[in-house]
Amino acid sequence: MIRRIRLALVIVVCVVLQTTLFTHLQIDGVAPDLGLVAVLAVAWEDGPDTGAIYGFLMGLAVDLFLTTPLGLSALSFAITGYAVGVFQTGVVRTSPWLAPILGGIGGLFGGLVFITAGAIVGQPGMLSFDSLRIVLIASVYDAVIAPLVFPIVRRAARRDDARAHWRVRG
Amino acid sequence: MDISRHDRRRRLTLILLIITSLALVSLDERGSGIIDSARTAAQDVVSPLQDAADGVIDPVSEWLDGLGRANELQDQNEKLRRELDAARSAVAAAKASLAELSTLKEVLDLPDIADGDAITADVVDSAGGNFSRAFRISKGTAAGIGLEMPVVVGAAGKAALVGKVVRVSANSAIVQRIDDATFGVGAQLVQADQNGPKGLAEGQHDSSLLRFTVVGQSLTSVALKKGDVAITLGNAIEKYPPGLVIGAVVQTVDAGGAIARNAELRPVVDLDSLTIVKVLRYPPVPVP
Repeated sequence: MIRRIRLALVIVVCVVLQTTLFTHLQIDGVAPDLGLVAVLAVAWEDGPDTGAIYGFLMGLAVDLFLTTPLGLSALSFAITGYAVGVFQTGVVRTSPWLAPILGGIGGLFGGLVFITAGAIVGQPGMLSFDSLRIVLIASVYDAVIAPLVFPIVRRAARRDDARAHWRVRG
Repeated sequence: MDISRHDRRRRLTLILLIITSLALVSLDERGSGIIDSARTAAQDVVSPLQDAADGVIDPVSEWLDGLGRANELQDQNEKLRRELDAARSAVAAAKASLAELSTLKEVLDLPDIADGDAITADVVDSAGGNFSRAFRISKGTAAGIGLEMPVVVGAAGKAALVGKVVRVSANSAIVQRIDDATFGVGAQLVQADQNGPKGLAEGQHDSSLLRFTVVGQSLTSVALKKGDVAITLGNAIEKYPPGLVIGAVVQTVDAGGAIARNAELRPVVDLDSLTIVKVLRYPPVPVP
Protein backbone atom coordinates (compact mmCIF):
# COMPACT_ATOMS: atom_id res chain seq x y z
CA MET A 1 0.00 0.00 0.00
CA ILE A 2 2.77 2.41 0.98
CA ARG A 3 4.62 1.41 -2.20
CA ARG A 4 1.61 2.37 -4.28
CA ILE A 5 1.43 5.74 -2.55
CA ARG A 6 5.12 6.26 -3.24
CA LEU A 7 4.64 5.40 -6.92
CA ALA A 8 1.61 7.72 -7.13
CA LEU A 9 3.71 10.51 -5.65
CA VAL A 10 6.36 9.86 -8.28
CA ILE A 11 3.69 10.43 -10.96
CA VAL A 12 2.61 13.75 -9.40
CA VAL A 13 6.21 14.95 -9.00
CA CYS A 14 7.03 13.97 -12.60
CA VAL A 15 3.99 15.86 -13.95
CA VAL A 16 4.79 18.98 -11.91
CA LEU A 17 8.48 19.00 -12.87
CA GLN A 18 7.71 18.26 -16.52
CA THR A 19 5.28 21.19 -16.72
CA THR A 20 7.42 23.64 -14.76
CA LEU A 21 11.16 22.97 -14.42
CA PHE A 22 11.69 21.30 -17.78
CA THR A 23 9.89 24.03 -19.71
CA HIS A 24 12.90 26.17 -18.70
CA LEU A 25 15.49 23.47 -19.36
CA GLN A 26 14.78 22.70 -23.00
CA ILE A 27 17.51 21.90 -25.50
CA ASP A 28 16.68 23.27 -28.95
CA GLY A 29 13.04 23.50 -27.85
CA VAL A 30 12.94 19.88 -26.64
CA ALA A 31 12.38 18.69 -23.07
CA PRO A 32 13.17 15.21 -21.73
CA ASP A 33 10.38 12.72 -20.96
CA LEU A 34 10.79 12.61 -17.20
CA GLY A 35 7.71 10.40 -16.80
CA LEU A 36 9.01 7.90 -19.34
CA VAL A 37 12.37 7.67 -17.57
CA ALA A 38 10.54 6.96 -14.30
CA VAL A 39 8.55 4.21 -16.07
CA LEU A 40 11.79 2.66 -17.34
CA ALA A 41 13.11 2.55 -13.77
CA VAL A 42 9.92 0.93 -12.45
CA ALA A 43 9.83 -1.60 -15.29
CA TRP A 44 13.47 -2.49 -14.65
CA GLU A 45 12.78 -2.93 -10.95
CA ASP A 46 9.53 -4.87 -11.20
CA GLY A 47 9.16 -6.47 -14.63
CA PRO A 48 6.81 -6.22 -17.62
CA ASP A 49 3.42 -6.35 -15.85
CA THR A 50 4.13 -3.46 -13.52
CA GLY A 51 6.08 -1.69 -16.26
CA ALA A 52 3.10 -1.74 -18.61
CA ILE A 53 0.49 -0.76 -16.02
CA TYR A 54 2.64 1.95 -14.46
CA GLY A 55 3.56 3.20 -17.92
CA PHE A 56 -0.12 3.45 -18.82
CA LEU A 57 -0.96 5.39 -15.63
CA MET A 58 2.05 7.70 -15.93
CA GLY A 59 1.29 8.32 -19.61
CA LEU A 60 -2.34 9.06 -18.83
CA ALA A 61 -1.31 11.60 -16.17
CA VAL A 62 1.14 13.25 -18.58
CA ASP A 63 -1.49 13.26 -21.36
CA LEU A 64 -3.83 15.33 -19.21
CA PHE A 65 -1.38 18.22 -19.57
CA LEU A 66 -0.54 17.84 -23.24
CA THR A 67 -2.40 19.17 -26.26
CA THR A 68 -1.98 15.87 -28.13
CA PRO A 69 -4.87 13.38 -27.77
CA LEU A 70 -5.35 11.71 -24.38
CA GLY A 71 -4.02 8.15 -24.55
CA LEU A 72 -1.04 8.65 -26.88
CA SER A 73 1.56 8.89 -24.11
CA ALA A 74 -0.29 6.19 -22.16
CA LEU A 75 0.05 3.89 -25.17
CA SER A 76 3.74 4.59 -25.80
CA PHE A 77 4.72 4.49 -22.10
CA ALA A 78 2.84 1.19 -21.55
CA ILE A 79 4.49 -0.52 -24.52
CA THR A 80 7.93 0.83 -23.54
CA GLY A 81 7.47 -0.22 -19.90
CA TYR A 82 6.45 -3.70 -21.02
CA ALA A 83 9.41 -4.01 -23.41
CA VAL A 84 11.93 -2.91 -20.77
CA GLY A 85 10.35 -5.31 -18.25
CA VAL A 86 10.69 -8.22 -20.69
CA PHE A 87 14.27 -7.20 -21.47
CA GLN A 88 15.06 -7.03 -17.75
CA THR A 89 13.96 -10.63 -17.12
CA GLY A 90 16.60 -11.83 -19.57
CA VAL A 91 19.47 -9.81 -18.13
CA VAL A 92 21.71 -11.51 -15.57
CA ARG A 93 24.29 -8.77 -14.96
CA THR A 94 23.88 -5.05 -14.82
CA SER A 95 26.36 -2.27 -15.46
CA PRO A 96 26.99 1.16 -13.94
CA TRP A 97 25.95 2.48 -17.32
CA LEU A 98 22.54 0.83 -17.02
CA ALA A 99 20.59 4.02 -16.28
CA PRO A 100 21.90 6.19 -19.15
CA ILE A 101 21.79 3.31 -21.65
CA LEU A 102 18.27 2.35 -20.67
CA GLY A 103 17.23 6.01 -20.56
CA GLY A 104 18.59 6.63 -24.06
CA ILE A 105 17.29 3.47 -25.71
CA GLY A 106 13.98 3.52 -23.82
CA GLY A 107 13.51 7.19 -24.64
CA LEU A 108 14.19 6.55 -28.32
CA PHE A 109 11.86 3.53 -28.41
CA GLY A 110 9.09 5.36 -26.52
CA GLY A 111 9.43 8.42 -28.75
CA LEU A 112 9.23 6.33 -31.91
CA VAL A 113 6.13 4.54 -30.60
CA PHE A 114 4.58 7.93 -29.78
CA ILE A 115 5.09 9.45 -33.22
CA THR A 116 4.08 6.24 -35.01
CA ALA A 117 0.89 5.94 -32.97
CA GLY A 118 0.28 9.67 -33.44
CA ALA A 119 0.59 9.32 -37.20
CA ILE A 120 -1.74 6.29 -37.20
CA VAL A 121 -4.45 8.19 -35.32
CA GLY A 122 -4.13 11.13 -37.70
CA GLN A 123 -1.99 13.69 -35.90
CA PRO A 124 -0.49 15.89 -38.64
CA GLY A 125 3.26 15.93 -39.25
CA MET A 126 4.13 13.17 -36.77
CA LEU A 127 6.14 11.12 -39.26
CA SER A 128 8.58 13.81 -40.29
CA PHE A 129 12.28 14.59 -39.96
CA ASP A 130 11.42 17.23 -37.38
CA SER A 131 9.68 14.60 -35.22
CA LEU A 132 12.72 12.34 -35.52
CA ARG A 133 14.95 15.24 -34.51
CA ILE A 134 12.76 15.83 -31.44
CA VAL A 135 12.79 12.14 -30.51
CA LEU A 136 16.57 11.93 -30.87
CA ILE A 137 17.24 15.03 -28.75
CA ALA A 138 14.72 13.89 -26.13
CA SER A 139 16.29 10.42 -25.93
CA VAL A 140 19.78 11.87 -25.40
CA TYR A 141 18.31 14.14 -22.74
CA ASP A 142 16.57 11.11 -21.16
CA ALA A 143 19.94 9.35 -21.02
CA VAL A 144 21.44 12.35 -19.23
CA ILE A 145 18.73 12.61 -16.55
CA ALA A 146 18.32 8.84 -16.07
CA PRO A 147 21.23 8.46 -13.58
CA LEU A 148 19.51 11.07 -11.37
CA VAL A 149 16.00 9.62 -11.74
CA PHE A 150 16.68 5.87 -11.56
CA PRO A 151 17.94 5.58 -7.95
CA ILE A 152 15.03 7.63 -6.59
CA VAL A 153 12.30 5.87 -8.57
CA ARG A 154 13.74 2.38 -8.09
CA ARG A 155 13.76 3.02 -4.36
CA ALA A 156 10.12 4.14 -4.52
CA ALA A 157 9.25 1.04 -6.57
CA ARG A 158 10.98 -1.38 -4.27
CA ARG A 159 8.56 -3.76 -2.56
CA ASP A 160 8.14 -3.25 1.17
CA ASP A 161 9.27 -6.82 1.85
CA ALA A 162 12.35 -6.35 -0.31
CA ARG A 163 14.70 -6.43 2.65
CA ALA A 164 13.62 -9.96 3.44
CA HIS A 165 14.00 -11.07 -0.17
CA TRP A 166 16.85 -8.86 -1.29
CA ARG A 167 17.70 -9.44 -4.92
CA VAL A 168 21.35 -9.05 -5.74
CA ARG A 169 22.08 -7.63 -9.16
CA GLY A 170 25.36 -7.37 -11.02
CA MET B 1 3.11 -24.67 -18.55
CA ASP B 2 2.84 -22.12 -15.74
CA ILE B 3 5.38 -19.90 -17.45
CA SER B 4 3.42 -20.02 -20.68
CA ARG B 5 0.19 -19.10 -18.84
CA HIS B 6 1.99 -16.28 -17.07
CA ASP B 7 3.31 -14.96 -20.39
CA ARG B 8 -0.18 -15.11 -21.90
CA ARG B 9 -1.56 -13.13 -18.96
CA ARG B 10 1.16 -10.51 -19.39
CA ARG B 11 0.41 -10.15 -23.09
CA LEU B 12 -3.31 -9.92 -22.37
CA THR B 13 -2.63 -7.09 -19.88
CA LEU B 14 -0.61 -5.21 -22.49
CA ILE B 15 -3.23 -5.76 -25.20
CA LEU B 16 -5.97 -4.47 -22.86
CA LEU B 17 -3.88 -1.37 -22.07
CA ILE B 18 -3.28 -0.74 -25.78
CA ILE B 19 -6.99 -1.09 -26.58
CA THR B 20 -7.89 1.24 -23.69
CA SER B 21 -5.35 3.82 -24.87
CA LEU B 22 -6.65 3.74 -28.43
CA ALA B 23 -10.23 4.03 -27.20
CA LEU B 24 -9.24 7.11 -25.17
CA VAL B 25 -7.47 8.65 -28.19
CA SER B 26 -10.57 8.04 -30.29
CA LEU B 27 -12.86 9.55 -27.63
CA ASP B 28 -10.65 12.62 -27.26
CA GLU B 29 -10.41 13.14 -31.00
CA ARG B 30 -14.20 13.19 -31.23
CA GLY B 31 -14.41 15.69 -28.34
CA SER B 32 -15.49 14.07 -25.12
CA GLY B 33 -16.96 16.11 -22.27
CA ILE B 34 -15.73 13.54 -19.74
CA ILE B 35 -12.14 13.88 -20.92
CA ASP B 36 -12.37 17.68 -20.92
CA SER B 37 -13.69 17.55 -17.36
CA ALA B 38 -10.88 15.19 -16.33
CA ARG B 39 -8.32 17.56 -17.83
CA THR B 40 -9.84 20.56 -16.05
CA ALA B 41 -9.96 18.69 -12.73
CA ALA B 42 -6.36 17.52 -13.10
CA GLN B 43 -5.21 21.04 -13.95
CA ASP B 44 -7.12 22.44 -10.95
CA VAL B 45 -5.46 19.92 -8.62
CA VAL B 46 -1.93 20.33 -9.97
CA SER B 47 -2.12 24.08 -10.57
CA PRO B 48 -1.21 25.09 -6.98
CA LEU B 49 1.79 22.74 -7.11
CA GLN B 50 2.81 24.20 -10.47
CA ASP B 51 2.51 27.72 -9.08
CA ALA B 52 4.61 26.76 -6.06
CA ALA B 53 7.23 25.13 -8.28
CA ASP B 54 7.24 28.12 -10.62
CA GLY B 55 7.70 30.38 -7.61
CA VAL B 56 10.97 28.60 -6.88
CA ILE B 57 12.10 27.85 -10.43
CA ASP B 58 11.31 31.14 -12.16
CA PRO B 59 13.65 33.34 -10.07
CA VAL B 60 16.47 30.79 -10.47
CA SER B 61 15.76 30.54 -14.20
CA GLU B 62 15.77 34.32 -14.55
CA TRP B 63 18.98 34.52 -12.54
CA LEU B 64 20.62 31.98 -14.81
CA ASP B 65 19.29 33.83 -17.85
CA GLY B 66 20.78 37.01 -16.49
CA LEU B 67 24.24 35.53 -15.88
CA GLY B 68 26.84 37.43 -17.81
CA ARG B 69 24.68 40.41 -18.57
CA ALA B 70 23.31 43.25 -16.52
CA ASN B 71 19.75 43.08 -15.25
CA GLU B 72 19.13 46.51 -16.64
CA LEU B 73 20.02 45.29 -20.10
CA GLN B 74 17.60 42.40 -19.78
CA ASP B 75 14.77 44.68 -18.66
CA GLN B 76 15.49 47.02 -21.51
CA ASN B 77 15.57 44.10 -23.91
CA GLU B 78 12.16 42.86 -22.78
CA LYS B 79 10.70 46.35 -23.00
CA LEU B 80 12.07 46.84 -26.50
CA ARG B 81 10.79 43.43 -27.56
CA ARG B 82 7.30 44.30 -26.38
CA GLU B 83 7.46 47.63 -28.17
CA LEU B 84 8.72 45.95 -31.33
CA ASP B 85 5.89 43.40 -31.23
CA ALA B 86 3.36 46.17 -30.78
CA ALA B 87 4.93 48.23 -33.59
CA ARG B 88 5.00 45.27 -35.99
CA SER B 89 1.43 44.50 -35.13
CA ALA B 90 0.39 48.14 -35.62
CA VAL B 91 2.14 48.45 -39.00
CA ALA B 92 0.63 45.23 -40.28
CA ALA B 93 -2.78 46.08 -38.90
CA ALA B 94 -2.71 49.54 -40.46
CA LYS B 95 -2.24 47.95 -43.84
CA ALA B 96 -5.04 45.54 -43.12
CA SER B 97 -7.32 48.33 -41.94
CA LEU B 98 -7.34 50.04 -45.35
CA ALA B 99 -8.94 47.04 -46.97
CA GLU B 100 -11.04 46.24 -43.95
CA LEU B 101 -12.62 49.69 -44.12
CA SER B 102 -14.45 48.92 -47.34
CA THR B 103 -15.83 45.72 -45.88
CA LEU B 104 -16.89 47.44 -42.67
CA LYS B 105 -18.92 49.94 -44.63
CA GLU B 106 -20.89 47.11 -46.15
CA VAL B 107 -21.41 45.24 -42.89
CA LEU B 108 -22.86 47.82 -40.54
CA ASP B 109 -23.53 45.51 -37.62
CA LEU B 110 -20.01 44.08 -37.48
CA PRO B 111 -19.07 43.51 -33.82
CA ASP B 112 -16.06 45.44 -32.55
CA ILE B 113 -13.41 44.25 -30.13
CA ALA B 114 -12.93 46.74 -27.37
CA ASP B 115 -10.52 46.59 -24.44
CA GLY B 116 -13.44 45.79 -22.18
CA ASP B 117 -13.85 42.46 -23.96
CA ALA B 118 -10.25 41.40 -23.48
CA ILE B 119 -8.73 39.64 -20.49
CA THR B 120 -5.04 40.38 -19.99
CA ALA B 121 -2.92 37.46 -18.79
CA ASP B 122 0.76 36.69 -18.23
CA VAL B 123 2.48 33.98 -20.22
CA VAL B 124 3.78 31.59 -17.53
CA ASP B 125 5.76 29.07 -19.58
CA SER B 126 5.62 26.85 -22.61
CA ALA B 127 3.26 23.88 -22.47
CA GLY B 128 1.85 21.05 -24.47
CA GLY B 129 4.89 18.80 -24.82
CA ASN B 130 7.57 18.33 -27.45
CA PHE B 131 5.18 17.72 -30.33
CA SER B 132 3.01 20.80 -30.08
CA ARG B 133 3.47 24.55 -29.72
CA ALA B 134 1.53 26.00 -26.82
CA PHE B 135 1.97 28.11 -23.71
CA ARG B 136 0.35 28.39 -20.31
CA ILE B 137 -1.23 31.66 -19.17
CA SER B 138 -1.90 32.88 -15.66
CA LYS B 139 -5.71 33.14 -15.82
CA GLY B 140 -8.58 30.72 -16.37
CA THR B 141 -12.33 30.33 -15.99
CA ALA B 142 -12.29 32.41 -12.80
CA ALA B 143 -11.32 35.42 -14.94
CA GLY B 144 -13.89 34.60 -17.62
CA ILE B 145 -11.64 32.68 -20.01
CA GLY B 146 -13.28 29.87 -21.97
CA LEU B 147 -12.34 27.26 -24.55
CA GLU B 148 -11.68 28.34 -28.14
CA MET B 149 -11.31 32.02 -27.26
CA PRO B 150 -8.81 33.85 -29.51
CA VAL B 151 -5.61 35.11 -27.92
CA VAL B 152 -3.94 38.26 -29.25
CA VAL B 153 -1.22 40.81 -28.59
CA GLY B 154 -1.30 44.50 -29.39
CA ALA B 155 -3.92 47.17 -28.97
CA ALA B 156 -7.58 46.34 -29.40
CA GLY B 157 -8.68 46.76 -32.97
CA LYS B 158 -5.04 46.47 -34.14
CA ALA B 159 -4.35 43.13 -32.63
CA ALA B 160 -2.30 40.23 -33.94
CA LEU B 161 -3.60 36.70 -33.41
CA VAL B 162 -1.17 34.47 -31.48
CA GLY B 163 -3.37 31.47 -30.66
CA LYS B 164 -6.53 30.10 -29.12
CA VAL B 165 -7.45 28.62 -25.73
CA VAL B 166 -7.48 24.81 -25.90
CA ARG B 167 -7.48 23.86 -22.21
CA VAL B 168 -8.81 25.87 -19.33
CA SER B 169 -9.01 25.40 -15.58
CA ALA B 170 -9.98 27.78 -12.79
CA ASN B 171 -6.72 29.72 -12.65
CA SER B 172 -4.77 28.84 -15.76
CA ALA B 173 -5.24 27.99 -19.41
CA ILE B 174 -3.26 26.44 -22.23
CA VAL B 175 -3.06 28.43 -25.45
CA GLN B 176 -2.34 26.66 -28.73
CA ARG B 177 -0.04 28.85 -30.83
CA ILE B 178 -0.97 29.74 -34.41
CA ASP B 179 2.16 27.94 -35.65
CA ASP B 180 1.08 24.62 -34.09
CA ALA B 181 0.62 21.91 -36.72
CA THR B 182 -3.03 21.34 -35.75
CA PHE B 183 -4.01 25.03 -35.81
CA GLY B 184 -6.03 26.41 -38.68
CA VAL B 185 -8.03 29.57 -39.28
CA GLY B 186 -9.96 31.10 -42.16
CA ALA B 187 -7.89 33.95 -43.56
CA GLN B 188 -7.85 36.60 -46.24
CA LEU B 189 -4.86 38.34 -47.77
CA VAL B 190 -4.79 42.11 -47.85
CA GLN B 191 -3.04 43.37 -50.94
CA ALA B 192 -1.99 47.03 -51.24
CA ASP B 193 -5.39 48.68 -50.83
CA GLN B 194 -7.70 45.83 -51.77
CA ASN B 195 -8.88 42.51 -50.40
CA GLY B 196 -6.91 39.58 -51.75
CA PRO B 197 -7.71 35.88 -52.00
CA LYS B 198 -9.45 34.01 -49.20
CA GLY B 199 -8.05 30.79 -47.84
CA LEU B 200 -6.86 28.84 -44.85
CA ALA B 201 -3.83 29.66 -42.65
CA GLU B 202 -2.41 26.58 -40.91
CA GLY B 203 0.55 25.79 -38.68
CA GLN B 204 3.24 23.44 -39.91
CA HIS B 205 5.02 20.74 -37.96
CA ASP B 206 8.51 21.32 -39.30
CA SER B 207 8.46 25.10 -39.63
CA SER B 208 7.59 28.13 -37.57
CA LEU B 209 5.96 29.66 -40.66
CA LEU B 210 2.25 29.20 -41.40
CA ARG B 211 0.98 27.81 -44.68
CA PHE B 212 -1.65 29.89 -46.49
CA THR B 213 -3.74 27.86 -48.92
CA VAL B 214 -6.08 29.61 -51.32
CA VAL B 215 -9.44 27.92 -51.02
CA GLY B 216 -11.62 27.04 -54.00
CA GLN B 217 -11.66 29.39 -56.97
CA SER B 218 -10.99 32.43 -54.79
CA LEU B 219 -9.13 34.88 -57.06
CA THR B 220 -6.65 32.27 -58.27
CA SER B 221 -5.46 34.62 -61.00
CA VAL B 222 -4.04 37.00 -58.39
CA ALA B 223 -0.41 36.66 -57.32
CA LEU B 224 0.34 36.29 -53.61
CA LYS B 225 2.97 38.98 -53.09
CA LYS B 226 5.73 39.10 -50.51
CA GLY B 227 4.60 41.36 -47.67
CA ASP B 228 0.87 40.79 -48.21
CA VAL B 229 -0.78 40.58 -44.81
CA ALA B 230 -3.16 37.77 -43.86
CA ILE B 231 -6.03 38.67 -41.54
CA THR B 232 -8.74 36.52 -39.97
CA LEU B 233 -11.90 36.16 -42.01
CA GLY B 234 -14.23 35.88 -39.05
CA ASN B 235 -16.38 33.04 -40.37
CA ALA B 236 -19.62 32.29 -38.62
CA ILE B 237 -18.30 28.83 -37.69
CA GLU B 238 -15.09 30.20 -36.15
CA LYS B 239 -14.81 32.12 -32.92
CA TYR B 240 -12.44 34.73 -34.32
CA PRO B 241 -13.34 38.33 -35.00
CA PRO B 242 -12.51 39.50 -38.51
CA GLY B 243 -9.40 41.59 -39.08
CA LEU B 244 -6.93 40.08 -36.62
CA VAL B 245 -3.49 40.05 -38.19
CA ILE B 246 -2.07 36.54 -38.64
CA GLY B 247 1.16 37.06 -40.58
CA ALA B 248 2.82 38.37 -43.71
CA VAL B 249 3.63 36.46 -46.90
CA VAL B 250 7.33 35.56 -46.91
CA GLN B 251 7.83 34.87 -50.61
CA THR B 252 5.88 35.84 -53.71
CA VAL B 253 3.76 33.12 -55.36
CA ASP B 254 3.01 33.91 -58.99
CA ALA B 255 -0.53 34.00 -60.34
CA GLY B 256 -1.75 30.84 -62.03
CA GLY B 257 -4.80 28.85 -62.94
CA ALA B 258 -4.29 26.14 -60.35
CA ILE B 259 -6.90 25.95 -57.62
CA ALA B 260 -4.52 24.98 -54.81
CA ARG B 261 -1.76 27.54 -54.25
CA ASN B 262 0.27 27.87 -51.09
CA ALA B 263 2.20 30.75 -49.60
CA GLU B 264 4.09 30.86 -46.33
CA LEU B 265 3.25 33.41 -43.65
CA ARG B 266 5.59 34.69 -40.96
CA PRO B 267 3.75 35.64 -37.75
CA VAL B 268 4.06 39.37 -37.10
CA VAL B 269 5.09 38.79 -33.48
CA ASP B 270 7.84 36.60 -32.04
CA LEU B 271 5.78 33.75 -30.57
CA ASP B 272 8.74 32.48 -28.52
CA SER B 273 9.06 35.75 -26.61
CA LEU B 274 5.50 36.48 -25.53
CA THR B 275 5.16 37.83 -22.01
CA ILE B 276 1.67 39.34 -21.88
CA VAL B 277 -1.34 38.42 -24.03
CA LYS B 278 -5.01 39.31 -24.27
CA VAL B 279 -7.77 36.72 -24.42
CA LEU B 280 -10.75 38.01 -26.40
CA ARG B 281 -14.29 37.27 -25.34
CA TYR B 282 -15.83 37.00 -28.76
CA PRO B 283 -18.56 37.71 -29.62
CA PRO B 284 -18.40 40.48 -26.98
CA VAL B 285 -20.62 40.07 -23.95
CA PRO B 286 -23.29 42.80 -24.15
CA VAL B 287 -23.23 45.38 -21.35
CA PRO B 288 -26.52 45.20 -19.37
